Amino acid sequence: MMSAVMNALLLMLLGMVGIFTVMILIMISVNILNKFAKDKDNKK
Amino acid sequence: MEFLENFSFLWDSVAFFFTGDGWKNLVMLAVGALLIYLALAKDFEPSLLMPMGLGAIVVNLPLSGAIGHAADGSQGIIDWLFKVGIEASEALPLLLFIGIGAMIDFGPLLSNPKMFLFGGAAQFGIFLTVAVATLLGYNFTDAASIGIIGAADGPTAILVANVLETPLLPAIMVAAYSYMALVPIIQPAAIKLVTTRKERMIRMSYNPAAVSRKTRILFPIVVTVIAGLIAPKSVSLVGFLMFGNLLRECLKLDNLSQTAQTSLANLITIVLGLSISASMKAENFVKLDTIIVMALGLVAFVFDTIAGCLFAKFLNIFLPEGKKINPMVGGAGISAFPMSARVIQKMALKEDNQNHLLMHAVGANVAGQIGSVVAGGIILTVVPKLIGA
Repeated sequence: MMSAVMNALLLMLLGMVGIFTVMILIMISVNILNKFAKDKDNKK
Repeated sequence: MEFLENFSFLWDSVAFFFTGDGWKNLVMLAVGALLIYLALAKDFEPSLLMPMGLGAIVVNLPLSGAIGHAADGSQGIIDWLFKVGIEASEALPLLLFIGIGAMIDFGPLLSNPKMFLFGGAAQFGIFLTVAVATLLGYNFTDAASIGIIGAADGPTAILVANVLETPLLPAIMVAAYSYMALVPIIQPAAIKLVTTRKERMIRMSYNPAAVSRKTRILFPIVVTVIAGLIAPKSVSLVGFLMFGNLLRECLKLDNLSQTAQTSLANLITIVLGLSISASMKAENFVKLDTIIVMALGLVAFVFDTIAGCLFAKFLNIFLPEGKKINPMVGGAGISAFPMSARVIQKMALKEDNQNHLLMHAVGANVAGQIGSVVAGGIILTVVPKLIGA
């Protein structure tokens, strides 16, 4: 049981780090897209 | 007399319920009826709970022809649907993701990208529940399967629990869909537990930046690549969700997008609900574990919401006055879309009838859709590695 609990705590750590890494990378990408990926009609 | 003997199987069928474990089948007939009642009378996820309810009745009738029997080597249609559509390929939940992706407008999220953070924070309940389940004595894979109920996302829960081959699959599926229907009851209670009225009255201005078509088209591709690189097992989930979204956003395939949103999603929903019922046989379902799994599912939903709210409160420490985030928006970072966003809007208006948080909550809510499939992918990637499989 102790090994299952240790695995669960490790999963919690890796899971939250993993999710935040993915979300932050996507957030940065979207910010870059919003800045540079303009439609032709919107370009001035 | 001979005529009566030919129909003696009727008596055998009735007697079945009152001999040995037959009472469990009777309980399942009642569960099926309850699911149909909740679906039709209380409007709880009717598109899934109704097929599941009728399916539960069909598979638990004595000598049901809809399920396979080892004695005569028969293979019933519901068992076949489950084996082919879920067990062997996970095709049904994955195909449903195409429809879901085609239905979602990520615009409110793309114009306010910081909402992505809440889609991550509000998955905490999943991992906390895994830990709690292991403390209750469940092995690690079963605990991970129980935790995924907190994804608040039926297809993800089905896929993860099925890949991890847990015997708790039926209880997990029922819990996942039941709690999604109960979001309007669970979330307000959880949010009030960790927020003050003053915090719930925080107003947030909404000045969305214009989102270009190029961004809308590139977004699903970028998400698929990033999620796939970090959590490779999430590619099927994220990829199908994003494929559906690309169909919607490219504006070149309107017919396919419409088909994915309507015909495909509806067909899969009908078949998925019935297929799931294959796992609702009395011998798999009527046991103490089912009640514990349902309770743990509630823990997952509550702590998802609490984590989202607390993360917003944490961010508020660093944000200046006027830029603060209403913590309720953090609670919308779960995947139950669009129900959670609606709940937050309703709560905000109840505290202050001029406080419109809907678009912020929608942004966090669709971020939760991505967060939940990424969480599922991470579990599928990490769990086998930790147990050395």
